[in-house]
Amino acid sequence: MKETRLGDFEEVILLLVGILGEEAYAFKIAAEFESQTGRVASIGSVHSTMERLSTKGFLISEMGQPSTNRGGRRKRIYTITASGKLVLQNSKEFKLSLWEQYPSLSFAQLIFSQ
Amino acid sequence: MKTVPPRLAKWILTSFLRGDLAEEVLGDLEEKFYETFERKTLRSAKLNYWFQVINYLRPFAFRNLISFNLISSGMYRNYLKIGYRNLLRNKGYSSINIIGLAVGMAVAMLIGLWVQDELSFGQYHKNHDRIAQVMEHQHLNGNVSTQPALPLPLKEELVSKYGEDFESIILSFWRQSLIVSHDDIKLTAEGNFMGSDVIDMFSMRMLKGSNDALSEPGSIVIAESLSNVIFKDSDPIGKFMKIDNELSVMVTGVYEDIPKNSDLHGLSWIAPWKLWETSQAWVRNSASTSDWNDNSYQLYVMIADYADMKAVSKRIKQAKFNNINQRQQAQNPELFLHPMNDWHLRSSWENGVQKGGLFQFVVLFGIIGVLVLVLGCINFMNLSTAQSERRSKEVGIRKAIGSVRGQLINQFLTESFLVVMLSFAVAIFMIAFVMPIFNNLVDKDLSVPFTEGYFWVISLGFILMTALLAGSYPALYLSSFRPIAVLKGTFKAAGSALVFRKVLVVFQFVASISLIIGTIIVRQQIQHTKDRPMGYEVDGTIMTWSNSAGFKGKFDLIRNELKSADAIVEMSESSSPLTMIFTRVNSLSWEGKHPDYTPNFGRVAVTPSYGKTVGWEIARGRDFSSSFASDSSSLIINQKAAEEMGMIDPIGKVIKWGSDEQTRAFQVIGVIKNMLVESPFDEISPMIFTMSKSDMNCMTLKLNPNNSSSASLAIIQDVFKKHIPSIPFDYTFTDQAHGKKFAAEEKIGKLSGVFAALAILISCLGIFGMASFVAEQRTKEIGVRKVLGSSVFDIWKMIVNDFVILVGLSFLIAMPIAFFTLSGWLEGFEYRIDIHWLVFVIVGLGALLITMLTVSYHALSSALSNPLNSLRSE
Repeated sequence: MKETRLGDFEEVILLLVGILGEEAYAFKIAAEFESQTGRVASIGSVHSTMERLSTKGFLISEMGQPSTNRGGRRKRIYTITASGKLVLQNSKEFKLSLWEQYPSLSFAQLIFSQ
Repeated sequence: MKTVPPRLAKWILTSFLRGDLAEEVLGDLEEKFYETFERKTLRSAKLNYWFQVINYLRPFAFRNLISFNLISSGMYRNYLKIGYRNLLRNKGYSSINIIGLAVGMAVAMLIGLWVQDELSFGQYHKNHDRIAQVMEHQHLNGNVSTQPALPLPLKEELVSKYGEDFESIILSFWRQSLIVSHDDIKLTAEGNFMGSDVIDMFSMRMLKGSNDALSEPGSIVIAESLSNVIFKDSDPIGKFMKIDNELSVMVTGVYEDIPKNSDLHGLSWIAPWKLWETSQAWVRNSASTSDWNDNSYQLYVMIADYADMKAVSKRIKQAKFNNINQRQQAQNPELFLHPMNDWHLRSSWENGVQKGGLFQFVVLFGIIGVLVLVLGCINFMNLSTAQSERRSKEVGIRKAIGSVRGQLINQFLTESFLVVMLSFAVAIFMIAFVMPIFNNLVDKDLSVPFTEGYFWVISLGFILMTALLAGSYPALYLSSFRPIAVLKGTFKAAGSALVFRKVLVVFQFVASISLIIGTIIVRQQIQHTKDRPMGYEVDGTIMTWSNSAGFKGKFDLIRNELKSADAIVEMSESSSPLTMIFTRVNSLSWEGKHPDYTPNFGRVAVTPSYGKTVGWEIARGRDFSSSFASDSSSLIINQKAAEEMGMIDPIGKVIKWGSDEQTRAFQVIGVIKNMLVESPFDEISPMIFTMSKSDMNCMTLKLNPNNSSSASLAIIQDVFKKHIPSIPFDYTFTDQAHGKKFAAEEKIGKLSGVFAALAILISCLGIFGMASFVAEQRTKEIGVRKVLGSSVFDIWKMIVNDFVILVGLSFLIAMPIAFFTLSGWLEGFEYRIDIHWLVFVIVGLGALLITMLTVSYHALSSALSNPLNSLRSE
């Protein structure tokens, strides 16, 4: 049976793949992760996460075009699958529903107590 | 630096990365690398690349490591196993192989350590590249002599006129053994008076006191060992000492003992030059009058760090010449710098040209070391190729099931690596075992630097090199077999391999025989020189220094007392000891002397009893006598001097000594047979003896031969102590002092003897192994021969013959090599042997005999074996 839940890092990577679209390959994703979060992720860790996401069926990949700044080597472009989109959607709705249950009072208290 | 990702990191990555991931991952990392490089520095880009590579060490990215293991290292495991089994199966050959190689390696390593130590001389001193001693070439009667004694004002001359070339210049006297004392502790220690910069110049390590410790004239710095003896545990700084019972000095510093591999080794104290200059009247005189004629001092310099040793050496060439009078200029003294790096190995000159010295021994032993190692390697090559027929089937099978030649080469190189590793281990054990003996032989403190990284790096290189050297031929040869020929059984060892093996054996024996001839000639030369007529009785005389002031006026007292106690037969005083000449004179003239001839005669001042003490032999005329008052202006010369002066009957002739107005006339009263006083390898110097009471430096005592020398020595010691209590009685046996002159040559004799013995041992091991193979290969042939009626002797002869021819051939090659090399070596000695043909005959016969004995073991065992056994086996 396939694991279908998302970890936090996995979720971010999945989102970044969606954001980057045609440019979604390991180096770019790692770079984007760094610029968006300010945290460093090695290409290896991003790569291994995407491999995991692929086996879960959230990502598919194919080899793209070579370019000179990578020694004429091709890159592996990842694309999000329908089930990938679904699992992101679910995750977002789940969190929103949690936020809605969050008591507004304590929110005000929080401001008040400043 | 090129802007490419670090190669090593990339290699590591590709070595573990799954093949199908390689393209994208390498691409990503490269992109990352260039991106980082543009934003930051190359260094951080490279660092980041490494970081990324390490972060790919994740399970998903690995290729299947288990199968990877099976492919490559499994084959090597197989090679090692087969190699190991082969070693075990042929225990005899394996041990010959390993022992031969181990002996070769041990010798090479010992010699390597020795050479390293010899080359490291002087490196204890930080500035060794810039230190030099000023020396001069003198021209005398068409010969050039080279020596370090120079006039005192030369220092000021160098400072004022050539000062910018030097960082410091120091005057120095000569190393001398003087009495140093503190309270009741008195002992004789070797030291020197040197300029106060000596501590900085030789970067001596001060354990106590500063580098300025010698700036006061009344100071002294002492070696740690001397301090331990004199001051035990107490702090020596500020304590007072006396040098020679006269000079009061205060200890201002203690330095670390100078190690054996420095030319300053053994210097136990250093006192300031100023102290020497002010305390000695003649030195003071030399300094105050700027006397350029008094060549009694040494000069050490350190050139400025921008200066060039050779250029400075050239510049100062005329510094002495420009300041001396015309008569002295006739000798055309040329100054030069003798760099510290050359002091140990290149300190001998022949006619003004640097020649020989210890350096030639370093080269010689280096060659011998390599040679012995090569002999060991040859054994390995011979035995491996000889084994080839046994291994040929294995090679055939391996090739038939798919081995390529490269793999077979790999296999045999692995085997040779295995053997070399084992040999190395054995060699290390051998070295650990013989190190003390070797150290004793060469008089050094060598040890294997096990804890140093460089030792293991060199050893590893050494092992790899030896493995390649020894294993390359067998590997190439064995891997070249054609499988069909081998498996069908039509294979025969190629003729070329047999020839090659024979060439190797010949080489081994050429080397061994040359070494043995060399050893014998060296020993003969030493023995010959030892047997050289001395011209006096060297046995039973002792010498003691008497240059301290305390001896003044005590001579007659001591002599009478010792003679009446029957401890001695006779004793005398002289200006030079029996084994050296301290003074040489040039200003001699006589009737009929050629005006261009400058005499260079050794001059010894003696007391009248000298002749009787040393037992010289009067050839003509008479000895000195105290009963003739005129003898104070008499002269005794040696035969060599008479010869140089061209006098057939010199008795009664007048010889004038001195220049210009100070000339004194002497009358020759006797001619003695030549006395061997200086180096026993050189020609005898012409000598003159005068009677004198001043300038005495040492006493010679002829012990009473009727008493035991220990009893006599005890009496002598007591008498000296009674009359001169301030000076410890210290003496040397003349024959021992004479014997020391052979030390270097004897060392070579011993070492080359050991190496020659090892060389012949290794070579014999080699032919022993070869003989066993030959015997084994020809088992069937021998069986058939025996059945057909051959006698044991016939078969023995058949096998031995091959080897005898090889050794005979080696002998013919070795003979001229040894002859020319040794003739060259002997040229260096004035007093030498002629190489006798009998030596060659004996060595040749010896080599043949050893060969026959070695081979006979196998020859006889196969000749005696029952032919039934060998013929039945098929």
